[in-house]
Amino acid sequence: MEMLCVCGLGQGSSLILRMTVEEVLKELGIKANVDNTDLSSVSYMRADYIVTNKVFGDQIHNTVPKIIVENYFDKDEIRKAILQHIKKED
Amino acid sequence: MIKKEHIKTIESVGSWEEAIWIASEPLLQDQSITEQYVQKMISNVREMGPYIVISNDIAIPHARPEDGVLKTAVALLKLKDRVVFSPEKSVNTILVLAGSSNGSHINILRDISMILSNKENYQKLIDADDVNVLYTILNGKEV
Repeated sequence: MEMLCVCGLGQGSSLILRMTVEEVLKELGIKANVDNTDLSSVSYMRADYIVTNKVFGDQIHNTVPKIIVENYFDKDEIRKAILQHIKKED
Repeated sequence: MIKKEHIKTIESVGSWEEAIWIASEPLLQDQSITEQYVQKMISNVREMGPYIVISNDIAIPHARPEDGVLKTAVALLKLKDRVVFSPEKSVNTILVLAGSSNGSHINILRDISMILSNKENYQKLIDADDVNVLYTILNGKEV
């Protein structure tokens, strides 16, 4: 599974988001490759899920399911958002 | 991670642009960054929206190393009155990130993420308005 964390510049915010997403996935026992990028490159990158906030989510127009979060440090919020999309795999 | 003289507290600001300028002042003074870097942090937000707002309370203005970072540094501005970035986004904590290379930029982000993914630390940082307390939180020591 490929997860892509997206922000404006692809360098700061999305990297913090990626670190939290990686930790949450590890805790949940979900195996996935997590990457981060900027808004303009999203359409060139393969992903099963995009993780980003609402402002950017609204600007990404493709068919990849979007996991929307606003607090990039908040593991609880991110865990909840991920679990709404992904069933825990055994 | 942060020098004490790079931390400022202030009552309020007129705009998010002003907040970024004020937060950056200590880094301009000791020549960690250039004025061009500050302008770039601001123009990035104008172009791409408030992507630097990474939680309900914190914004991390930054640009690329080649936009004008001379020495890797972090600056913190705590505001008593929240500053508005967009109708849904306002913060009271501005963390200016200046990495002189991509590697040092990533190290700063990793440190910040490690400290603030701890809920207790996060809340302390949001509530604190004392430079010594802020310094202690961000350098990973018990208050």
